[in-house]
Amino acid sequence: MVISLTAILIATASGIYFLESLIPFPLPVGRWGFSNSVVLFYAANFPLKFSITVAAGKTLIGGILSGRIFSPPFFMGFFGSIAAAIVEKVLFRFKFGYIGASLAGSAVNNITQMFIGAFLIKSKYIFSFLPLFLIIGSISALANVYIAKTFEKVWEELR
Amino acid sequence: MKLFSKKDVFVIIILFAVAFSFLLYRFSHENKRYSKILEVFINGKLVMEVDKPGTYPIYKGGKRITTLVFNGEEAKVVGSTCPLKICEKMGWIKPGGEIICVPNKLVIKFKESKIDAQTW
Repeated sequence: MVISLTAILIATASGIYFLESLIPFPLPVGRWGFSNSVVLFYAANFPLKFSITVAAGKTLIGGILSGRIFSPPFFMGFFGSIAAAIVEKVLFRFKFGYIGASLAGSAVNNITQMFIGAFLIKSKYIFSFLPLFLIIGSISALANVYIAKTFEKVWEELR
Repeated sequence: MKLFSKKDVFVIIILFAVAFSFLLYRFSHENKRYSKILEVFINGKLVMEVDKPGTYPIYKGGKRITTLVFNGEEAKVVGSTCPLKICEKMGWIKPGGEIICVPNKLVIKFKESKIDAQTW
């Protein structure tokens, strides 16, 4: 059941990852990150290996769909998502709530992406985006809490 | 899993502290003095300096990757070969701003002025 659900939700997250690029974003760079709601739901309800699978799977399939696979932005998103999945899982283990885990996951995702970006372009100037990314990421993180909670309700009804 | 726990307050405080310290860093960065000379870095290496208004193609490995437009005060890039054209969407930058193109590993910024204080 969990494996089937993981496959369905990787597909859902990949679809969100691809479609959210069509939603206008207030900065010239970046995306809303609503597909991370699936990772958040998994971190709250399943073992770490499943949330990492979802984080890696949605970025890989989303990268293929958008034609950005193995490009520098792909690696930024890939490692950012995995770092967020790990931090969210750790916080849920320590009895943090959805809001705290989602906000921390979003911040860690953005900070990891900046480090990967700085490493790839060999310049620290990419960090100039970080304050705005943290602010906008927090808005997305709260929206992701609502989406993840909805997934959780559906999952509890299915069980 | 709970929607909100008292522990979440720590996350909110840390997040505010991190965002605020980066904003402070950014603010102090903006107060630096900049010359009207543009520096172009590819893969972390300085490849070009521009001090006169004009249009300058930028090459990487013998291929043109973008074109820098400098009006003497502000700069922008046009005709980039990257897929999402994010560097073009950044528009005109003033001293203190940067144009970053991750796919082309390109950074364009105004050179920091050596003189940051005058005593007389």
